[in-house]
Amino acid sequence: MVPTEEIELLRYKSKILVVDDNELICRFISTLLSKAGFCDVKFVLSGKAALEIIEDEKPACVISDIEMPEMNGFQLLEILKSNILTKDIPVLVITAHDDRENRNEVLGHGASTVLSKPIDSPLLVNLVTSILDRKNLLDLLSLYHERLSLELELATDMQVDLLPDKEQTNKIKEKYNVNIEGHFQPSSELGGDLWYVKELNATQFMFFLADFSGHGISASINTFRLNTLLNKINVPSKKPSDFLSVINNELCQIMPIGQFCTLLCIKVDVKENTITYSGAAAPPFICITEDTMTLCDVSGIPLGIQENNTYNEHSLNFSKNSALFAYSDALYETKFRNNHPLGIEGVYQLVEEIKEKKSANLMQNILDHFYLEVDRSRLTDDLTTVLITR
Amino acid sequence: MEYQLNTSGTSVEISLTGELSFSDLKTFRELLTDTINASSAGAKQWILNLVNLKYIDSAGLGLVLRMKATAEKEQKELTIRAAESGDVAQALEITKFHELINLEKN
Repeated sequence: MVPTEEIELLRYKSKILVVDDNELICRFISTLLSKAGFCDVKFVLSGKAALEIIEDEKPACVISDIEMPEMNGFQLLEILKSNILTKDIPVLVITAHDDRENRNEVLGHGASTVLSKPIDSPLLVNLVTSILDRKNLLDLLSLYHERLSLELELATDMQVDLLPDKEQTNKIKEKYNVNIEGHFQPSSELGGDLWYVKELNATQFMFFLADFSGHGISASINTFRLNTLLNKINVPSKKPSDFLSVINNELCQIMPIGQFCTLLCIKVDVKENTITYSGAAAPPFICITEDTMTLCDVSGIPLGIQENNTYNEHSLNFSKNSALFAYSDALYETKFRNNHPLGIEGVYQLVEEIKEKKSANLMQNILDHFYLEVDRSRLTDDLTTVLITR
Repeated sequence: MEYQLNTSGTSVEISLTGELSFSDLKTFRELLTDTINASSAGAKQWILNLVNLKYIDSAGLGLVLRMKATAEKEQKELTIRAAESGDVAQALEITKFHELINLEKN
């Protein structure tokens, strides 16, 4: 939060403009505020002069009289409040007509507060103090918000850049004749999911789907760590279970206690027509061949918790016209409108139903079904789905 | 998430209800402090009772791991008590938590 000292410092430096056709009153208010510690108080004798100064100097607070020749206080308020550049400047109105109707009219014109004549000096100082503090606090917060939004926007772009793009999936398509299609929707600007493809040789590539515990900024920082690790990692055996062990030991060195990563690792071999897979607490993925559908168990101790874990490994047939559907836990854990999540069995059934309809685009159908039930902008966890087809 | 502590003899039982997730970080810190204080009389064992917990997400599992680290530091033996089935049981199964922490099925 914004520290109190900063608000106090800003309070006394803030520009204050007094507007009154009576110079004596202007001098009285200016002196009063100067004595109270406000260092930057100016006054002008007409609404017109006020507008000129406001345009140049953008005061933090305007103190204005109502009854003035040429342009009265109401007119001044109307002009200030209708201009986007000046509408947020708080205006304290001082009026001799302190009846209910007049007070409400002044406030209705957008004044922040009304003070009646004769001026109650301590009250004026208190009102100016609270108006300035609120204005400065809001300014600081919106500045902070703006800066953070901009930084998050840049970071979001960076995170999206981590994921395989069209160029990379086209390369995989050319080299292995395999289609890869991914979808990533973080629950906030940044997320803790990552999917990755690593070419091993002319006939084999490795697919990874990772999900870091938690979500948001801290989880997303971990995806950058993992991405770097996956870029440089070299496992001579090319076995998914060995990849998991090596990545686990590396992550144990860098992950804080209480943070971990679930990882699915699938080796696709287009010569042998097989997949070999290993997992660490990943959601079971679905392997679809022309006549079978298998829910593949990839449970295991998550990565980054305990060193020297070993992981199981399994193989399946993956001939032409087969497909793999992998997803992060948000797909089956996010509650639908009826307050129930899809569940792992639900995901399996959904894939089965869509497959039976023989519709062209399996993943889009799954996502359409999901986003019918869940508001995309209000996900509680990051969603990643990847479909690999031969 | 809400929690309740019961000290009996040499063990402190920490019972959780509701959902354990990302938003419980602060409550969980208090829980750990309370548990340490409750064991100052000489309790050697911590039992984390998740039987009545409805849901746990990955961040929630992370909090359980923090409790494990705290228990090790405080030289206490940590046991998780969980239901046979349900969302929490499924989360513990997928992550093979029984290989990390003593797990009692209830």
